[in-house]
Amino acid sequence: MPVRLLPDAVVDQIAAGEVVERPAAVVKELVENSLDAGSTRLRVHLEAGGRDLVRVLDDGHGMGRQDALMCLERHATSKIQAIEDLVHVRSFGFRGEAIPSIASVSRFELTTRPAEDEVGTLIQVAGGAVQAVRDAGCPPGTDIKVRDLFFNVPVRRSFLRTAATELGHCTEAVLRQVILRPEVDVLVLHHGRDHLRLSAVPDRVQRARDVLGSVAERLRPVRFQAHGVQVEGLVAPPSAHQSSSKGVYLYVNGRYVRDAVLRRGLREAFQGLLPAGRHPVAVIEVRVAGEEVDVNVHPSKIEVRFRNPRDVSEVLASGLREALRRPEPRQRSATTGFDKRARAPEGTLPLPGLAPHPSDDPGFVERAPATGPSWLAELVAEPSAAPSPSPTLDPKASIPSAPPAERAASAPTVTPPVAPTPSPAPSPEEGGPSVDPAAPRLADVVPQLLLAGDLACASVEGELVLIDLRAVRAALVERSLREGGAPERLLLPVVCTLGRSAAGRLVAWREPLDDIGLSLTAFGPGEVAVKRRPALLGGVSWPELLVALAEVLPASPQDLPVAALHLLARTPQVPLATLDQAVALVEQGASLPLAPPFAVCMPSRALRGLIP
Amino acid sequence: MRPPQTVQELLARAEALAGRTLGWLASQEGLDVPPDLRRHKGWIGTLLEAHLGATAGSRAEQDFPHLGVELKTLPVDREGKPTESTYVCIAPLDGSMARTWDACWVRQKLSRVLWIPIVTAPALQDRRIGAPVLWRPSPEEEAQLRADWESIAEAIHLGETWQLEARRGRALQLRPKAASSKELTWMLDEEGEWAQVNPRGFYLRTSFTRAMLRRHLAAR
Repeated sequence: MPVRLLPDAVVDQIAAGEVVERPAAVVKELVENSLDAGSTRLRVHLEAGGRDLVRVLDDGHGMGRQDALMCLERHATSKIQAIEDLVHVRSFGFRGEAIPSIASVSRFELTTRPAEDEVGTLIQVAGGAVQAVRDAGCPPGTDIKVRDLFFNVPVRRSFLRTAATELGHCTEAVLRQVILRPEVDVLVLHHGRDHLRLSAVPDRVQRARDVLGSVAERLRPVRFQAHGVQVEGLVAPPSAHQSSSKGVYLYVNGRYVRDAVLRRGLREAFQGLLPAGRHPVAVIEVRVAGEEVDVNVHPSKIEVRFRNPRDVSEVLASGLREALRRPEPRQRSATTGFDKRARAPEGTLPLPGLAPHPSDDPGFVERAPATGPSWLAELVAEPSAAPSPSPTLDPKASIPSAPPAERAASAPTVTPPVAPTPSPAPSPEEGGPSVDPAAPRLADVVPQLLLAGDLACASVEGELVLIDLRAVRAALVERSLREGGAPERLLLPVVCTLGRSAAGRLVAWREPLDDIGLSLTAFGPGEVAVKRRPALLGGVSWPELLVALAEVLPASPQDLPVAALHLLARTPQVPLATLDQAVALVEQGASLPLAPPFAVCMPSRALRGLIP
Repeated sequence: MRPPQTVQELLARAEALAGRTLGWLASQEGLDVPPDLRRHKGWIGTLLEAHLGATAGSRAEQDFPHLGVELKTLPVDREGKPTESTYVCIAPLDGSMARTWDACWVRQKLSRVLWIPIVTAPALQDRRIGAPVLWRPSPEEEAQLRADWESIAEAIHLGETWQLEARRGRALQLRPKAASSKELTWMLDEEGEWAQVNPRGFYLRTSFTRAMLRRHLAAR
């Protein structure tokens, strides 16, 4: 067969294969265009998972007739004019390929009107051939209907999956585009029914919460910068792992990417923290200067190439590790400079200056606790518990600063690793030792194994760390009680029959007990009802505890005796059942020292000596 | 019982009931406990209204109009999970529905609600009254309710009530509200013609009330 030039229509269809592989790719391209057009209201209508119809309506700036016709020509774009512009391109699209590619493999209809024009334009295209161009009455913005995708490429159509599968991909394509755009109101309808609705919200944290569901409550802010790479976002603790990587959203300069360099950084940060085959949850944006990244690697622009990939993955890993070391927020929602403001205008990459630390942000989202103050909020804000991000922060900072030999000396192996009856660590105001801010803390370890419900094992630099979870919990409970107990109201009060004497004494002490988050009322003869309890006393047996408490309380109420606090802190609770619970507990106690009575470190040499 | 003069007084009365059984409360009010709720729908609400001093009765206004508070009982299991959706108000299908969220009856009813969970038990008299929650929708909750209401209201205005299914709306949904399928009301259909249809009501989904409860209460 002689060599011939292919007709334009065939060239378009072949090229379309790179850009448009399934309905989700159409959704991605059209949504990108809408966002580039400054839309704040996006409606996506789908039928048969996008096979029969993908329709994207927006309220963006629309196009005049000339532009509308031009956008159907291959390599026609308003976004760049010269190759140099690629360096600074901030729009999602720039190649001018998407619209002609889609139009060449579908029945395509474009209706558009800029706000300043009185009449809109309607263009109908079938298989790449323009069928009609006429005036149309329409609201400002753009409405694109893509019907019967691949109707003229039956082979490609036969490769499409079921409507449900394609719908899932389309939904994911929308989510990826809008998770960083909280100001955009999004509605996806499938056969006219609501399928996904994301109302416009003031910040990305709330948008992430809407997209990620319950795990969003556990997200913590990521903010880090080094070597000209800025990392911002949200990450969930390792214990929130998922079975698929769907909870990972990675962006470079606002553009969703599937990039090996970023994946490597993510993997490094979670090294040893996730069970095999599980995936973390994170929404991360990496910002670099335009000349440091090439976004024109593939027509779908989902792949990028970095000038210094190693720097990028190391900075990402460091930023994530720094965020993961912080205690988990509970009563407050995670937030960050990622961000209360609307998306920065195109072309304003805020390098190299760092925005203020999240805790300095006046727009910091703080959900008021249901009742009482949150001691955890204090823990989060504690400078020693959360090292502020610094451009010079060592990526290996998660390793305790004290040398292993020194730690081994502080925890001789002859010391029993677990005190039989752990008592809360004395606080400095009680005459206890002051805590060296540089000393290793529980924040430096993540439990890898749970033993007997109250012991956890971890490792640091080849040393075995044993953590007494009872001691950790006791310290947390006592600290919490001193700060008001972060009380929780119970759906049903716990009614305890104690006898007239004990019940009467506890009711007399009602106000001091209320101050530590324990609310009691008289219920019946010899009965009290527990209506609120300190959050960390969820697993106790109340009748036994209240009888013991009545015994340590003097007859006349005054300040609550320390013995009462110790009793509440040490009271046995239901043993932990899962490693995740242990991880969560240690995360809450992140600021406690990595030393007795909470933990002992056993050097590998000493461990080897145990084996005859 | 005389009407409470302040919200605090209303809340204190409700707090004092937490942990009591419906049988105990009925005896306090001198009422008999019906064998079940099939022929006595609304008995629990009426019992609590009587004890707390509600004045509106069945009138279409808030239960405590002078306090701006609506009373809602919420059947829940022992984990605090609501067992049924919560009726809010009737949805007018005859073109008389408010045109904006700010003016609509759903918003007014839900602007301040005293939720009283009723923890399920096999026998009606053994069901326990849970801790009350005085609630105002958060900005996020209101945004969600508004989006749902606008979506449903638009469909009703366009006469698409036939196509409205309970699946629409994440927090608020439209469902038939009638004692039987024989009960009919008039609606304007897509062609602007009058047609007869079962009355519809606005209901809060259990996912919404569950999330609301979880933010305020811990299960036992």
